[in-house]
Amino acid sequence: MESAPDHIIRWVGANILPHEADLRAWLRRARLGREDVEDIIQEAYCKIAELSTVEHILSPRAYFFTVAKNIAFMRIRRARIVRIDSVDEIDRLDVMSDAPSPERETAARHELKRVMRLIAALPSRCRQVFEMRKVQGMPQKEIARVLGLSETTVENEAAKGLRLIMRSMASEDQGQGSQKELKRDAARNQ
Amino acid sequence: MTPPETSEQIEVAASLWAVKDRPLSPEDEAALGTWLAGDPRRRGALLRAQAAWSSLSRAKALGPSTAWPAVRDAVSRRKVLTSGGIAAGLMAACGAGLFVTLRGEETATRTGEIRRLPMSDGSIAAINTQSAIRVAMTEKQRHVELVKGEVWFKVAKNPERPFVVAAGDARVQAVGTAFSVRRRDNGAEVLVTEGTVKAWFNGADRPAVILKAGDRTFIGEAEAAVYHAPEVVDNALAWREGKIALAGKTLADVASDYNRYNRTQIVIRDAALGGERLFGRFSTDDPEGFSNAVAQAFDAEVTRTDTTIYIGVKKINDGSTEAETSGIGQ
Repeated sequence: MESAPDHIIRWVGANILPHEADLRAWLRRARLGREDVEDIIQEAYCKIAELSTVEHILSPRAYFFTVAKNIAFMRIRRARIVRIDSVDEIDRLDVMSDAPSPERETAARHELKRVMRLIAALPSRCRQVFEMRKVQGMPQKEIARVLGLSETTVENEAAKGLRLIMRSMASEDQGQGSQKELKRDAARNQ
Repeated sequence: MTPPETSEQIEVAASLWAVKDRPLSPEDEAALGTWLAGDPRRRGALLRAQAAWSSLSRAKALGPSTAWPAVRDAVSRRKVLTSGGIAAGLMAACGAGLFVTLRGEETATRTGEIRRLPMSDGSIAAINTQSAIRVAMTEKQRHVELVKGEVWFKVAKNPERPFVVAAGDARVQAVGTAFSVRRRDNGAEVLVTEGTVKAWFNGADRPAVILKAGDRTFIGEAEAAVYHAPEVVDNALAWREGKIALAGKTLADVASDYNRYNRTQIVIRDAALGGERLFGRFSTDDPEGFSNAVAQAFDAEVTRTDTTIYIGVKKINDGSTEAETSGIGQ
């Protein structure tokens, strides 16, 4: 048993993960608290893990945002005190208008550079293991042999590197030019 | 259950599982299965970690780091580490209670609440006061059960997946259109604002009726009559903008409309006054303002308790009023 089939894991890595920082910024704009936002994102991944196919998802970004939006609504409804103002705010967040900006598209081309920076900033043994594993593609056993470490240590270092990189990606601020995305949907229900 | 695991513990465990060489040994396979089954949050955390791990495989394109340009100053190690600290709460919990899937989830509104609910297929439901729906999205069908009350749907077009609303035995089916259904004791009122819908009564030996934009009907055991009345349909759906369209309704009818939306109940104490007809649009959430306007218009008398607004004819002398002696409105 795994979190999800291989093709879904790869799909999430390539199509969902890159939008996580934007989703976070988007949810914050709906005046949701930091904890609420993180809960919503976490739950969105849980939801995606239940998918058996992703072929029907034409825009992964819109899908991710919509799933999060639904979860946000659900959470608000479950709260003892229904915050009509937040319902209204989330309601006004228009998923379709939240297309990545041209600057963001260009930024995607610098993704590799960013990964390089993040790896370079890892603590030294962690970095060494991480590089052998992800850049050189060496199996764990081989790395342990070459470095004279136990396999468990290699595994722990690789996992630590992964966590550090995920965390710095998650907290990187990509929300510039975000105000335009907060579209006041004045014409709704017309 | 043992004390709940912190989100950070879950994140650490998930990252360890993510980096393991695949395929897993049979022992690891079994251990992972047990771990995943232990807490529903773990699966999402593992997916996120595995997705990140898989996306980092593109680092292969970088080549050996001896050839990398000096990049250390761009992001210092310190920054990576401290941002990790900030993000300690990032893998926050999806508590067990949050784990109910959207499928079959009941969405209900309270008195006076009007909610706009975007659905996973792109459709939108506007749910009127004191209403409840259950949405079940499957590959073949989009099914909404109207448990009670009234809902307007703007349906995303998808001929492969018909959109069906069930209100008791009344059924309304759409492909891509907008319509409302209000559940009544013996059936349901259907109003169509865009496109075409098909409506029928389950178990009745009668073909379905077809409704087009501006049509309304009542689906019950008796044969359904379809009326084309765009203005009536439009007025009946004024609630989507938080309004009641008076449109010639009697004061008694409008009072009962207000009572659907507000805890404060309006009671009309005079039959003749209750028969007066009203026009215009009023906010559903303002029974006070409405009562005052009525008092002005008909020179009526308004008496208030905490829960009730009584509207009656003016007394000549203001001795004892009956307002305090009568029971609390509903």
